[in-house]
Amino acid sequence: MDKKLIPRGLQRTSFGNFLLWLFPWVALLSVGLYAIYLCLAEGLNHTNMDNRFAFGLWIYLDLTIIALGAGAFFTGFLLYILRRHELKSVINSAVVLGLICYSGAVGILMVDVGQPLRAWFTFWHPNVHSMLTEVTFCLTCYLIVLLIEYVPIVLKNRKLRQIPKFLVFEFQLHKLMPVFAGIGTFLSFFHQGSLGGLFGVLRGRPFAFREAFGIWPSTFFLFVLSAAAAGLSFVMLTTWLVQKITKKQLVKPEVFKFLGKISGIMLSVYILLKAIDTLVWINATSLSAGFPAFEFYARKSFGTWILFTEIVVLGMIPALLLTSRRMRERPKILLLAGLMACGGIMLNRFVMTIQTLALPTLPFDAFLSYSPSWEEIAAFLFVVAYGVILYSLTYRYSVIFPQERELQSPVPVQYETQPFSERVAEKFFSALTFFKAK
Amino acid sequence: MKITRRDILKLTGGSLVGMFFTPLPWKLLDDSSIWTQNWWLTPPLPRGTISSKFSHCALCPAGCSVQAKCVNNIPFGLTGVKDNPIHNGYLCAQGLAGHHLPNHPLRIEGAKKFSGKHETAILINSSQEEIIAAVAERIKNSKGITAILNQNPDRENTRIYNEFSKALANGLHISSPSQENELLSIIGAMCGVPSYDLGFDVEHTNLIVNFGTNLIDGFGAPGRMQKILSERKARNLKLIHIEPKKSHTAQSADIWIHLNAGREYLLAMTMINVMLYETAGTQHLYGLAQDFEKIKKLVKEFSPARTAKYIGISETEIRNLVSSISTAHSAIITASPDPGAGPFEQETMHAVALLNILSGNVGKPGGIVRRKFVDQQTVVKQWNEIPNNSISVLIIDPSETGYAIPWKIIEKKLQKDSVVVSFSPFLNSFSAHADFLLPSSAPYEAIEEITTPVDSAVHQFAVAAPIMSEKEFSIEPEEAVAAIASNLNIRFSALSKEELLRDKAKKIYELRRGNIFNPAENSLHSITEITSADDLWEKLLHGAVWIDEEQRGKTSFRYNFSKVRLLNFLQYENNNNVTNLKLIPVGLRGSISNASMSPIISKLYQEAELRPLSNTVLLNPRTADGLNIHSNERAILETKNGTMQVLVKTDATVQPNCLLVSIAPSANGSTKHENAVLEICDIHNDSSWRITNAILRKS
Amino acid sequence: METTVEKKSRYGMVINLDRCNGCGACAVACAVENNVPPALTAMNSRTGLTWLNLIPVSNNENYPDNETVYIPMFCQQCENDTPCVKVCPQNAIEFDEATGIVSQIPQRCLGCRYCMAACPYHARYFNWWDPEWTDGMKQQLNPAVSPRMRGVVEKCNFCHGRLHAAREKAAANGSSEIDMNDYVPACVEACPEKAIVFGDLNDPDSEVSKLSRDTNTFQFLTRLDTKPKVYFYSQKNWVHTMAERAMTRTGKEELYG
Repeated sequence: MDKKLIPRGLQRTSFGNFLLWLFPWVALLSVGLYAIYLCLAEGLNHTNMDNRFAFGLWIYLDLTIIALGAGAFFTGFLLYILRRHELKSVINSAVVLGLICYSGAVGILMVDVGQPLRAWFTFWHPNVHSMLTEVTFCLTCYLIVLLIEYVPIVLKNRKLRQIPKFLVFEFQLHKLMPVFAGIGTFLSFFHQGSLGGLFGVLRGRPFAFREAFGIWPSTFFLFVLSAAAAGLSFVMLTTWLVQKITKKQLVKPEVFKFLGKISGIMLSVYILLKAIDTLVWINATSLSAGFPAFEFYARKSFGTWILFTEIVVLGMIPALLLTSRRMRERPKILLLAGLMACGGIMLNRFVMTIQTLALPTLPFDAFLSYSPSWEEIAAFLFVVAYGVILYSLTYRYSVIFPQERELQSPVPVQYETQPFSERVAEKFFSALTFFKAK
Repeated sequence: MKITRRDILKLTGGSLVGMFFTPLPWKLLDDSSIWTQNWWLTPPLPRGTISSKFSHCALCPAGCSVQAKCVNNIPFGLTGVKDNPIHNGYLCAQGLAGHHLPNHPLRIEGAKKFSGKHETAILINSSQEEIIAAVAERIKNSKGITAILNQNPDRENTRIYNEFSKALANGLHISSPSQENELLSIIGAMCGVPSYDLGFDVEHTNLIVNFGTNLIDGFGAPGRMQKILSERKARNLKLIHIEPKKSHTAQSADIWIHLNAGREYLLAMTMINVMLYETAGTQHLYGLAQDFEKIKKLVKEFSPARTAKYIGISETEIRNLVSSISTAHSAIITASPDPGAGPFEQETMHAVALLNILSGNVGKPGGIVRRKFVDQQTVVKQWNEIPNNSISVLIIDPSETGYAIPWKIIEKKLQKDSVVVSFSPFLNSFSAHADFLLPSSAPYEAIEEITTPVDSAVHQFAVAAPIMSEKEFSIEPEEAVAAIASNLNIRFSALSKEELLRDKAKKIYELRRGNIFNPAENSLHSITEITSADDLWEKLLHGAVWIDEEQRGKTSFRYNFSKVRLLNFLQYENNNNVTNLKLIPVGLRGSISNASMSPIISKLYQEAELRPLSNTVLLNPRTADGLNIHSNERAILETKNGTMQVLVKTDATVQPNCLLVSIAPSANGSTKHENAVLEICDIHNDSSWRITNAILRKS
Repeated sequence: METTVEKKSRYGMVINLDRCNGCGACAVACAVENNVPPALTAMNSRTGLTWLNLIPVSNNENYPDNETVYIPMFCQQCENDTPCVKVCPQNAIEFDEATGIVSQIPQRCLGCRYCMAACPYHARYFNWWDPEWTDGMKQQLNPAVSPRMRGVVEKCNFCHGRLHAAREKAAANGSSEIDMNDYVPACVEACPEKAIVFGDLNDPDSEVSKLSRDTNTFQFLTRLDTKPKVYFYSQKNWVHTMAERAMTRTGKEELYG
């Protein structure tokens, strides 16, 4: 049965090996499920959040994975709207990643709210002034778009291709893809932005509050740009990771370079604007609210190093590396720069959520710290496990990388002349021996 | 017709689309909305008639008037009675939620006994008859003392307890240690009157010199004192506060004397020294006081030059303090027990009593005055007069003083195989150590007597009328004692509490003295307008309070100092061999046990940083630095009596090198460690435990 | 925000910090009045429900120069661009133009806690647990205030139940205006030091209005420009300096240098 489902002409590991690979993830999924059950059945007292730290690990990770999942919309935008056909080879992967990230984020959000059954009230009594309303609307709609975009990938399954109607449907859907990509880009633009706006509008939190352009604070635009940059880098990194795990070349090296290039351009624009925004914030916004910005960094745990790391180490440096053709030619540096870019965006989301809440506003308030409970971590790992499982299933039973067939050769990966990354990766993945190509 | 898979798919798809045109999904949405809005775990609100009742709060000796808002005759909110002439018309935090006490999670529902030994003992159900019979049996067969411990002995049920204990061969009715009126008792003993005949005339005084007690902190302020202190300016009243902590009282006092912790005795003795040897004006005592010369001689060695460095304040400060007292028109020098640290040592109390007498403030309006006579019985014995290992049966009356008492003090007086019966309706620090529990009614369920508070110059009388129905499983202490007596075949008058109180009301009616404040009418009338004793009783049941007339003019006493217990300098130094760190238990009045306050008070200690939870050590940041211990860390507190785990909080109001450890309350639902710190304190022979040498180290 | 409501009140408070002795009566009266449940064993100062939270604040000097004031902190009823109202995705927070009171509608609240992140005064509380009372205490709930459920946010609403009662009474007497003696929030009623003055800030003759204009009166975080309606009064200089300081410097150990 399993064999019949595997796409023709592609090599996949044995069913037993596949189950073995899935096993730890399913175990993680179960633990996460139990944690989610506890939170839903007994209340959010199972988390370590509190009245000051009203948001915790979950919101931080929601923001992060939505940024990383932005590859889906931006790749779609580049491919279908700007007609950059190089990206055809990773679009499926980007869509699957996007679907995982978004559905995971929405799922976790449903655990994070106190009364999930009232979630639809946002649609019933929406407050149009709230950034969260914008996020909820766009996120829900975009999740539907992602599901539609995911359908053709599912329909690539060998068994499903045998049904002629599905083939026709897939073909028609393909013709419509630019429309969906357009809608997706539009929706993503707004929810990525609104996620940034979420904190940028908080007048009561001078650490997060930013100057507004029209109805949107600057963080709105910064989040869109940073998500685009991080999304592409994340597609690049995951593709590389899948290649490593499967020990197969799945896309041509040019694709990596192209992803890196666009990511680098986006990152450069972002980091430039971010730097300007930070300067404006330090010299005007924060001061006018009565908070000299450097007071925010007076604590040991969140010193100015965090600002430096975010903007220079994990912002400007990867932007320079990615925009330089010479650097992009070296896969090790390309990947490292991608990793740094993602790290920088993750740090930015961390700063916006966790640091914002840790800092006091009232003159007599204490600076607080927070560490997540096991339930919070487990619920998050649930999303990771769910993502790995969904990706694995899609990879096994459908065609994620269209170039896989033509690239299949006995040599696993061509461009790995630099030993370092390979050595590290090999050490890491030697543990995962059960996933060998036949 | 053949049904194909396709048909099924079509049907399913069609149904799905069609469903959106049916009410089903919308009904589901609507239901989920209703269901989440009427969350099944939120209790339905009580519905019914709203009414209002007047009563008194019997939680502490202040006895404030309360107005209860009721639904279905069950109170849901309490407020003070604004126009009450003696109080300020407000309730303290604890009193505001007093109506929750009958429904307290730590309420004992029915007669119970502990089975097993100490720590591992478990509570099992029993019956009133069984326990009464067992206690009677035990009294019959034992050779030791049968004692009734009464923490509020100024009440009328003292008559019952006295009658009962006199009827027994070895019966004693005793007051508890750590009494609020202890200073008055000592002064009373020196001038030959019972303590209830004396009162602090705070309303007319110009100066209050206060040793230790936090008059304006937390729950500790009886409404009357708080009212007077907040009107200080208008009343031309000064407050001098003597405490080794910058408490709120210290901060708001006119003068704060921050002496070294534990040096109150030295300060009081030095003040007497200055009074006797440096100022004129004590000559009036020479003729009046017996053994005055003895005191004068003893005090001589406590010269400011010698003691100032020990006390930690300058000689000038001591002299200024004395001069403020002697120049004040009238003054009261107080020293009350601390809810956590307990009573001052006997010698300190005696010295403070002497200060009042020697400064000429006893018998003087605005000082310690004699109240007009009201017939009242008092306990047979003071706690400290009981020898160790002598009590075989201890019956504990449910009344509370609001001050903690270490169980070790009680235990010391008990024989090895003694039996302890508690009448408390709650599982608190006393009843948890009892063998038998015969719970009486909780506050507001049964009638209770409101006696004259210590800070009143005149007698007063009111009752806390019940505003909730009594539970069938409770038995009143008077009833229980009568039942034990009947089991022992003792002839006994067996009056109920209500009968006792009606008797007292009748006596008061017959005095034809004083005024009646009636909150229901918001009126103050002379008692002569009351037509009968029954009429008075009826008014008392509806929240009225009787306030006696003032004793006018000066009262002269003859003093006898022969029983004054003072230490000389050497004895004092030997007793106060203080090492580096001093452990001082702290608490706020009434918050010495979770059982004595509504669980909602958690808003102040558990859900806020306002008050420390039990087993929290407060220490000066400098001391913490020296010990290399940080705030919010766990640490081990060690004395020669044992060790315990504590949570460290730095607090700049604490004197360096003092470890203030809060005794209670603990988080709701966990009563395990309540008053634990008292178990590792040094208990002196006079039942005081203020300061213990201790070590604090990281855990 | 300009409104068209003609008869408009702006209820507000002035709290005299020099009078407050930190007795906690206000906090307890508030909890009793508003059916706020008592703490469960695992609750602490970060997860509790204290609509009115009494915070001791010191002048940062050490013994014996230390001084403390107790700051009752609760919803400041922001008037301008109310931070929580703006962010709530489903209109579960209402700003009443007629009274200026910001109130939470727990039945509509989703529990996303965005409003808590938005509130500069940390005056909003989330029900991390289901509320619990003993069976007897359930009979003692205030019949005028709905208890909240797990997973929703709650906060001070100037004792809305009492405002309704006062309005009903006024209506019964044929008046459209309430008698301010009938509308006294529980904390104001309970304060033995009369430290809290409550009233209509729009009425220039009211005590609260006069006090709010006193030179010793201040507010917290005024530069955020949310125009709160709770004022604080103190004659102590250090209290004013503290209030103007942008941020706390909590404990030396956490700071550089």
